[in-house]
Amino acid sequence: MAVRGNQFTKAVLGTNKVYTWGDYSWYGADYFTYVFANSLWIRHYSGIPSSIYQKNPSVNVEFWRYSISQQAWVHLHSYTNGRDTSSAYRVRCPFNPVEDGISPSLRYEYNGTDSYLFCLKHRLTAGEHNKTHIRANVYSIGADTTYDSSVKGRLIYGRTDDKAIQSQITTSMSSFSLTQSWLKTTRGGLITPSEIKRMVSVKSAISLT
Amino acid sequence: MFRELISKLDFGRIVNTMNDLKIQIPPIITAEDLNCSVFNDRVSISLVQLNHTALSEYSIGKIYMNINPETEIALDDNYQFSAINFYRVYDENTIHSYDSYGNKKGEYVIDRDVLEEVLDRIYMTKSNGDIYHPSYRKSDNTLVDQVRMAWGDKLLCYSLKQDGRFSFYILINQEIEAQMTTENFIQEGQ
Repeated sequence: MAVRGNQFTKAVLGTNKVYTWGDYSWYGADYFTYVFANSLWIRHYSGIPSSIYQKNPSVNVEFWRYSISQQAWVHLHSYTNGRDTSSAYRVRCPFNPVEDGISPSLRYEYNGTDSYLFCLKHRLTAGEHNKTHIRANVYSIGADTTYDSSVKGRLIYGRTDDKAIQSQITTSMSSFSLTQSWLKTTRGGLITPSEIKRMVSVKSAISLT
Repeated sequence: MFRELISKLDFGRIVNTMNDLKIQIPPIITAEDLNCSVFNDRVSISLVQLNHTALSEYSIGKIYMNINPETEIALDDNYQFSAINFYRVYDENTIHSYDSYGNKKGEYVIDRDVLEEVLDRIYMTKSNGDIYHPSYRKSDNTLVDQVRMAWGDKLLCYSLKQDGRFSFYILINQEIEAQMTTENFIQEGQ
């Protein structure tokens, strides 16, 4: 992990998981989990009912990216998770980890340069919500499999807020405000130890400046 | 109410009973059915049947132990084997009930869609005539409806039994330190 005074190189940045969140997936509506990062992995899992008298869980999942060039959300992949089924997505990231004891099935990966804000939409259509689970991980830029020279140097984009994941809200992508402070990045200034994880996990912003 | 119920369960006796089980594989189980051969990492208590005589008075009837997604073992109020209840994956709406000697005790016809939204359909019926209602369905019986409301989202279903009992099926969903293996099952003729 980088420390104060480092010049940013892939080796110094490392591949640490710097933000993570996980919980049962909620029910009763469409839910949206937003992740703002350079390297990320997100997974939804539908498990096994707690008794033979209940339905198998079934969850519709969709993975979207916010396109900087189009200034619009772009749909990337859809899947219906049935019993004991997972769907994992990753962005500029080599990892597909076993988290929470769940083996993920990688459905889609994005390695372009047009998006840093992503959304996993889910809707439980059957079964017990506490037999389902979502996990999102954000990794240091050093994990970026498309690592390029733009991350070299001491000065780099950093997060305005110490937040990379907005978990399970009912605010749809069309209603999601892109001017929230946690979606802002700033450039300039020296990295301080307390700010390292905010600096090393995002390379760019909603719009390239 | 829920915590009080959990405190009444003797987990040690449940574990011992499950570990010592020897059940003849029901004759309708074929080599392709995994009901008696593939098991969860841990047994879990899925449901407990409570027979209410008043709002705050009940006796524990059956304890249902989930061993894999299609199979459960019912224990009686003395923590002894009562039945093996299971469905076969290509006929998931029929739950069969057998004793430990391979004799059929009964069967249930189940419509799990009734749990997903408010529907005016029967959730489950047993071959002896018992009908099971989803937790959201109001009962005309005052006591039954009071108990239904009291258990809230911990209630899976309830039944006004043919023998007069008011039975309520409480969601437990708790793993125990026991695991089923093929050693717990006996092939017919062994």
